[in-house]
Amino acid sequence: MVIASYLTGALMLAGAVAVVLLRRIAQAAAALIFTFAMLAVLFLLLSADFLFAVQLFLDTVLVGLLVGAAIAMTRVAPEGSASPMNRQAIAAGIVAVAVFILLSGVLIKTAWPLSPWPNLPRTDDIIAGALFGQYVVALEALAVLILAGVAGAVLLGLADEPRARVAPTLPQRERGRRKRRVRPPVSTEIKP
Amino acid sequence: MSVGLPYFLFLSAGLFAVGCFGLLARRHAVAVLMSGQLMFGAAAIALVAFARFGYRDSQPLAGQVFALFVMGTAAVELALGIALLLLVFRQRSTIFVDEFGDR
Repeated sequence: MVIASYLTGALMLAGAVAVVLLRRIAQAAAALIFTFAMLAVLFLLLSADFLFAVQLFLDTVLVGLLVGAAIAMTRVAPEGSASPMNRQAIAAGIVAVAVFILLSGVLIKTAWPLSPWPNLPRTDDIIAGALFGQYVVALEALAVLILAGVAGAVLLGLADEPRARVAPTLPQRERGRRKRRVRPPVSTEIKP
Repeated sequence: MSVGLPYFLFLSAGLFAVGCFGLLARRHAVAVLMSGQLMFGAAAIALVAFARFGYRDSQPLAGQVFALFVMGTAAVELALGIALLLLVFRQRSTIFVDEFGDR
């Protein structure tokens, strides 16, 4: 158990570093899927069997598919020797280290109130009772958030289409001009 | 010897810091979104660890319930982020965040 926890944690952190540092985005996406798989194993080691299943399906499979689709739809020419990092990489590194030191300092100084684990055989029934009992309002708010997010994503995906329908093509404009042109009437009167 | 709460919280802090670096430093927009997902995962680890090592009969597995909320929010954020990314990509023909404001 101890060795499994340390090994899983180390693999998960290695995968996360690979996500951040790999130049090729497809490889970074594969590293992300690996990191989430290790995260699911970590949930299992923390006696969260239901979350292990959710993490495996939701984050590992679904997020992997979403990210893969996004990479496929935004393919650009190879960067060559361009760096995967932008100009603020050094400042970002300083901020990341500062965040880690700040969080670690809080973790060390706080006296966390611990209690023994009651060795629950399964957790899904307790989570279901909590979701539809004590936390039902938060659950409904999450449902509204998901609905708003999906609606927003669909609307953003359709955002370019109305513009294409409004602008007529050149032959259509020409046909319109020809129809509107009115010929002057031809006089049939015979002049002396 | 057993693994305690501090180990998982340090793991969470480390994963959060790595995601923070990727969010700020990467050029590729999909990599920025993936780094955000790492930060959500770090929060979920901390919540599940608190549920495991700080069990309360009055609020059983509250940490795991909130971890579920975090995972749902992360999925919504990713979907919206990808939709925005595709829109910007169609208009600007670039996927790098430092070139989004160039035109």
